Amino acid sequence: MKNKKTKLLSVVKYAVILLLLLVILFPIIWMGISSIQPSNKLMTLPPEFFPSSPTLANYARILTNSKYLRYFANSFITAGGTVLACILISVPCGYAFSRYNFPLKKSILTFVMSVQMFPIVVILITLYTYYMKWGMLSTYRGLILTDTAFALPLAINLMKSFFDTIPKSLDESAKIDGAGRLRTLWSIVLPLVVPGLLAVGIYTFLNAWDDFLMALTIMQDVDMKTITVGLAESFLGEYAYDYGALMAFSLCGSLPIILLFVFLQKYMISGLTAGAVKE
Amino acid sequence: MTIPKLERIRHKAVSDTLFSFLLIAPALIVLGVTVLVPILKGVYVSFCNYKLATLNNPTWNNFQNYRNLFADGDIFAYLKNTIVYVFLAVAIQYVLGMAVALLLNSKIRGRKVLRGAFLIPWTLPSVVVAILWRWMLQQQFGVINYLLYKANITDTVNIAWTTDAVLAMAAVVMAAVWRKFPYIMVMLLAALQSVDQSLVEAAKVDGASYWKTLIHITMPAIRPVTITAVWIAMMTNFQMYTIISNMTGGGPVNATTTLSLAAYKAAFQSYDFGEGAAIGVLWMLLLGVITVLCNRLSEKYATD
Repeated sequence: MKNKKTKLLSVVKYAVILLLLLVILFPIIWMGISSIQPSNKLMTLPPEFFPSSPTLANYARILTNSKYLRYFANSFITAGGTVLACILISVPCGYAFSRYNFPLKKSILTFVMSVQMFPIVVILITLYTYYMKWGMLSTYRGLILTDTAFALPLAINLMKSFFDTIPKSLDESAKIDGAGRLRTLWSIVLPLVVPGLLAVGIYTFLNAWDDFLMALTIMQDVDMKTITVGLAESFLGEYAYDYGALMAFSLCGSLPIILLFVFLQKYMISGLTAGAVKE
Repeated sequence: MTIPKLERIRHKAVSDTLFSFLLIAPALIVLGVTVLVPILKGVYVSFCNYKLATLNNPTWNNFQNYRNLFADGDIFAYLKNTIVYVFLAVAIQYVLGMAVALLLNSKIRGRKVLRGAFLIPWTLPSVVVAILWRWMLQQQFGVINYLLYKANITDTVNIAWTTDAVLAMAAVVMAAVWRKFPYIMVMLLAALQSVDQSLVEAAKVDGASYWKTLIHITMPAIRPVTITAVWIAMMTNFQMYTIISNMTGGGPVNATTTLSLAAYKAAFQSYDFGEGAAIGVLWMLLLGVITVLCNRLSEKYATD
């Protein structure tokens, strides 16, 4: 009797999970379906769940538009630059917070973590005027700098918790063997936190790629716009009401991070939870 | 003999401090230049006449920015919209995230694959999320209107999601929840997996029901992670600009204009930077109050 009941319960459970998953993933499936339909087919009722005349024309329009290819390149350059800057800065910083005691350590850590609380808009107001004076509007380094600043708190916290998992005795034995402090970090400890570096890298890339507000404000020149800003603009202008093209464009704009996620999921999830859950 | 040893220790301590400050210096410089100084300057210019024409010479204007905000009363609408939006988005994210986490935490096969599949919406760029939901909620041909109509939930296929004040708020909340609940789900799932199973088993042996075990054993055990996750969700939803702006533009008639949108519009559409900064300062005050309350809450539980 009981066995039958638990079996039924487990069937129901799998059914609920799969149904929920279908609902959650439906928008992405719908994006895919819409992207391979000509726009006149989209503007009909009932909507076609199985496209009667699938076409790749929408993708061809996006991928042959040199303006949009340029936006893709800009997104890759800024996101890549942000990842590089973020790792270079967060590794030594996280290591210091994990290994050393120094004055004001707690206050500094609190300040670093509270950065995400400050209204980005207020920061942008001032940065915008600074960048204007420094000639950093519409430059890669300008956007990389702000993207880095907003990725740093989490990156530092992540690196710290990854370093925390490496026993300190390792540092000490390296020291006894005569290794200097930088050498200990570089060739003894760092190789052990490669999963942490990957987690920070992926997370930073994702955030920089997602950024819209800062790119919108800082990248004023048409040539310097990133893919997210380009998408929003085409939605209002060139492809207004052309949802087939918009969905193809959206899918192209999401593809780099979906691929990154599919292949490096393990590291990303370990990064998501490392800061919060101490195991 | 003791004196040189002491000196050696002191010498080492100083250089340890110096070394760690060298390690954290790049981070402090970047955050100082791009966050701390701009915030302080932002607070300062919120008390100034600071527009495009007066960019090089902000002058004290006797709380004029703040008085303008309160004079037309719009600020109260922005505050209300922000609180409604943040509360709904965080609450629904939490409930949905917890439900999925509990399901995935039970004895099932393929947990990791399922967890990954549920996470996909979280990887999409917010702009894509906004455009995608706008298309699904499109008035005449949107698939959601069609499905609601076919399921007999609505009696017309023509629902104007973005021109009705309440529906517009519902639409942005739905899109934001869809994008962000997986994050809470993953954090809660990780916390659930680290709960000491012997406690849960002991409760079961004592005859406690599933719900009783959940409320009295599991939830308290994951409380620290829950508080962190909810706090992060609140911060990111306060900052939310992209999804709202690209779905409704803050409309209809400011019905979805949160503090974030209002500050951006004041600063970068009306080019009244002082007024934008003033909205930001009010926003920080509100966040400050919430953070203090949150800290009280977690301290209270920490001493239990």
